[in-house]
Amino acid sequence: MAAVVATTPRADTGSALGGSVGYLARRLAVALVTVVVAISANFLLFRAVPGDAASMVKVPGLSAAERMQIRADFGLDQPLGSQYLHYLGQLAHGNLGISFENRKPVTVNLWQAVANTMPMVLLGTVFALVAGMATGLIAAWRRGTVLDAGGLGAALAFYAMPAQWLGLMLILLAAGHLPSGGISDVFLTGADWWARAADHVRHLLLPALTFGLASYGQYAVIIRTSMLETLGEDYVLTARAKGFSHWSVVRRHALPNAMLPITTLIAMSLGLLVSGAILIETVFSWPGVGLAVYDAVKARDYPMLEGDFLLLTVSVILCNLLADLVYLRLDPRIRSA
Amino acid sequence: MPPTSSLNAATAARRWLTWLRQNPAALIGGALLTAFAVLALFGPLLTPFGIDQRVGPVYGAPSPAHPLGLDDSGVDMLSLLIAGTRISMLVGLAASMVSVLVGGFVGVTAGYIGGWVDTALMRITDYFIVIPALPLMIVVATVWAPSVVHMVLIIALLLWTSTARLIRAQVLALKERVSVRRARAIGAGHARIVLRHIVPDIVGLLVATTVLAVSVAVFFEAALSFLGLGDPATVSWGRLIQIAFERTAISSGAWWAIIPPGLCIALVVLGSSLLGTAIQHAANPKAGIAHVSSRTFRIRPVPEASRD
Amino acid sequence: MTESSSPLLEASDLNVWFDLPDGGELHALRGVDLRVGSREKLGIVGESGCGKSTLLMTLMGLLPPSASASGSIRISGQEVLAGGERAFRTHRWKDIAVVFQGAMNALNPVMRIGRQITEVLELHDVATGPAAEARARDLVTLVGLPDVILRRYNHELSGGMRQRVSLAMALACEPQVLLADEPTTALDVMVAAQVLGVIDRLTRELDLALVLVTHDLPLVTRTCDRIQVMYAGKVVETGTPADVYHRSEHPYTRLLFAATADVHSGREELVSIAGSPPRLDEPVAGCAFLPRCPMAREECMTEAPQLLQVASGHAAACRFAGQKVRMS
Repeated sequence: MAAVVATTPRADTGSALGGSVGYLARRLAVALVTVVVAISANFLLFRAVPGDAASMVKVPGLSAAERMQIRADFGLDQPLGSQYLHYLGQLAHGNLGISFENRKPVTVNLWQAVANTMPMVLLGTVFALVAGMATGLIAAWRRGTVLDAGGLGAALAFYAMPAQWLGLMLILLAAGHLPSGGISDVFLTGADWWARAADHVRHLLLPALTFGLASYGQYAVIIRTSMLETLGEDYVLTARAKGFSHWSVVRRHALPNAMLPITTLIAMSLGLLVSGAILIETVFSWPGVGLAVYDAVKARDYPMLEGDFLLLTVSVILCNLLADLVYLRLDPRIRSA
Repeated sequence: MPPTSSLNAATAARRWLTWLRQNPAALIGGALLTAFAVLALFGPLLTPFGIDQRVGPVYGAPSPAHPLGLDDSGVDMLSLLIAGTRISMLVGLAASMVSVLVGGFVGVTAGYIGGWVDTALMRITDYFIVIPALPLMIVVATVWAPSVVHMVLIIALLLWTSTARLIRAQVLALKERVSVRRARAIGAGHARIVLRHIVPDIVGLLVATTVLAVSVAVFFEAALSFLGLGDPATVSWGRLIQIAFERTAISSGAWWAIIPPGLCIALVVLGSSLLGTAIQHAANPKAGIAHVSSRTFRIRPVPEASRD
Repeated sequence: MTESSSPLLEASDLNVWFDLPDGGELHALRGVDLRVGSREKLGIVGESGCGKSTLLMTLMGLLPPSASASGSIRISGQEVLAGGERAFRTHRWKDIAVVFQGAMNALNPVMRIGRQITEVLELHDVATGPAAEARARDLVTLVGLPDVILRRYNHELSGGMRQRVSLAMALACEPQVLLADEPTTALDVMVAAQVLGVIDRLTRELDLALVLVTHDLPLVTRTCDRIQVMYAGKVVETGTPADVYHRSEHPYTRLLFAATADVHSGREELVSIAGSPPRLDEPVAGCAFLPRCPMAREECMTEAPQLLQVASGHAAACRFAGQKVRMS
């Protein structure tokens, strides 16, 4: 065989590991800086209250002496700089302060709230992702047909409905069949573990379904769009030319690529999920992170609101970081870039 | 011969109409938004009853005189809904316009100037993008006295980031275009280049983003009002839902107090999403070929007419 | 039949239309015939938009849903166009494989190169497991690449390497016909020459038939046994390189050669012929080349010219073909 001038592959474009580490380091740095910004914003915002936080507390029957005590307790009589340092120091020890309202540590309140929010949000998200995936994929696959129009229409309709209103609509629809609020039936005291678990699930269904439906539309639209974009790529044409069936082309070549924008967009939609949780938990009196925000706003319970805001911000930042990790796993271009 | 300007306007209008006819989604979206805009503008003329006027029993059911029934103080719901249209649409439009102005300015500045200005502006944008919007809005709204203007600013504060990103990307691409480079080479001033060569090409994108932002703004208005952070002196759709929710419209079976305002929000959001997406596609068309689809090309007999 | 066996790939009276968003239609291929025998190298040339790439996609059955087609395509004597996707799929890659344009992202960015080759071996039951990997190593060696390339991703390769990988992939299942659509666009001259060298060598060594679609006239005259010149969705001249180059009978072909003579590098799109091709979204009356033709006559306006045989295997779609009419 005639020798052919073979161009050797470009000299190792930095080891794959180096690329990953660099990428991760950059992402981590951005996440860290964002957390610091969020913490400082958090601190400053609450000190920007006219008068001071203590004077705004709306807890019934709070005497002037107690207000002063709150001022002293929370260091609100100190200069701003030392307050900030103190705040950071306390934060480093995991101390978010004491709730104005129920006088329990904010971390304790938040921990309970997170434990309640998790099942609701997870169940809803799983539902939204499965339904959104199905709708988005089918709509993209049957692009331009009645099925596509119908799927997209349904997705847009649910996307357009305000979550709080959707929740109220579901309560109207399920009236008499499912409880309209709370996390459990307070009169169900003597019952065994199974009965209590079943009761818990019955309370969980409506808020989780609302959460799922409220996020479903967005997922369906995102997945349809990135699927359509991927289906237009040249390598999809190559896969078809190779003789793969439509389904194999989608599964082997289109989906793995479509997952990249989907991951990013879902990470970017996390903020909206948080909004949904606040509104839905308020509607259903579900004692989670969202309801804690609502209650703190109503009582002007600043330590709780601060803690909650910090928790939500940090979780969103962490989830974004997680999405970056997934992205790193999915996209070889980032690993060696 | 008619003056050129009106001729151009007529041509532009005709082109718009043709475009709308070819894009049913845009047509539906545009119609929805126009209808609500008209309702917002001429609402007070159409309101059958005063919004502080008790005209019947608490949660009176819909009747010919009050097609949407009465609220918890016996006020006509239709009148409240029309009054709410005005505030919700105003907040939605104003917030989206402020956010697009800010975002557009940041995007053009970052994209056109580049360098450290770009880096700094985009970092700030990045942080705003990660921070969950509603909680931050809640925090700001909690420490700030409630008013319609504050509501607009709070929503705009968090809406501008995506516009800034989009516009920056577009400007970066435009900057490398021949016409822009030529203008630079002949020494045109920056302001002139931006206004004559860049802004005209991002107008479509700006319009699309504004229209899309309306939906998000209306959404957030409803959310903040629902959480009791709206101006208590005004009526908006979000506030109507809040009132109905807090004053047990559900358990009273007064569905008429709660369905209409949510439906209005959903329709405006739907309208602005449909129209905004359609404009976005028109301003930035993609070939949009799917290499795999449930449909395949068709086989047909050769029509005699096309044989030559 | 005069030949002992049917041609490997044969298309007759191919018409392709694309639906336009405004409800109209674009008549992209207007009655194209094509025939590729064993080991034959056919070059298809023309300006961009003349339908040459559409022709290639039609031969693979890869038209988009907005297209409709009529006519006949036979692969090894079997009719496939009438059988639709299913019929095409039985032949894709096993009998007829394709190398796409160099400018395209023809390789999956998140799948290793090696996997993209072995998956097609597995699909067509050529080899599995370690045997498939061994075959993949042979294939990349064949196109002159080191086998470490198999562990790489698309973005780690240069343009020339990508086209070699595409070629290795196309050869994986030992097809009889290789289609190549502008395989060297977006490559620089040196690399393009190397890639073409590999294609040329391998088609000879592996007894492949080749359909080379390009706008590079000097290239086809060097590489191919037969040339079809396309204009506005039709074949306007066909013959051996010598026929088409030295004895061209269609004014378009002559202008095409004249235009290339100046450019020479072959990398520039041909722009030097004054005027532009007719719109194909409305019926073309008379000769499609008429508005740009230096020898146009009154009668060219009404009647569309048919391919006229001027010598054995040489035909041109011009009413003056074979009449020795000089260009004015």
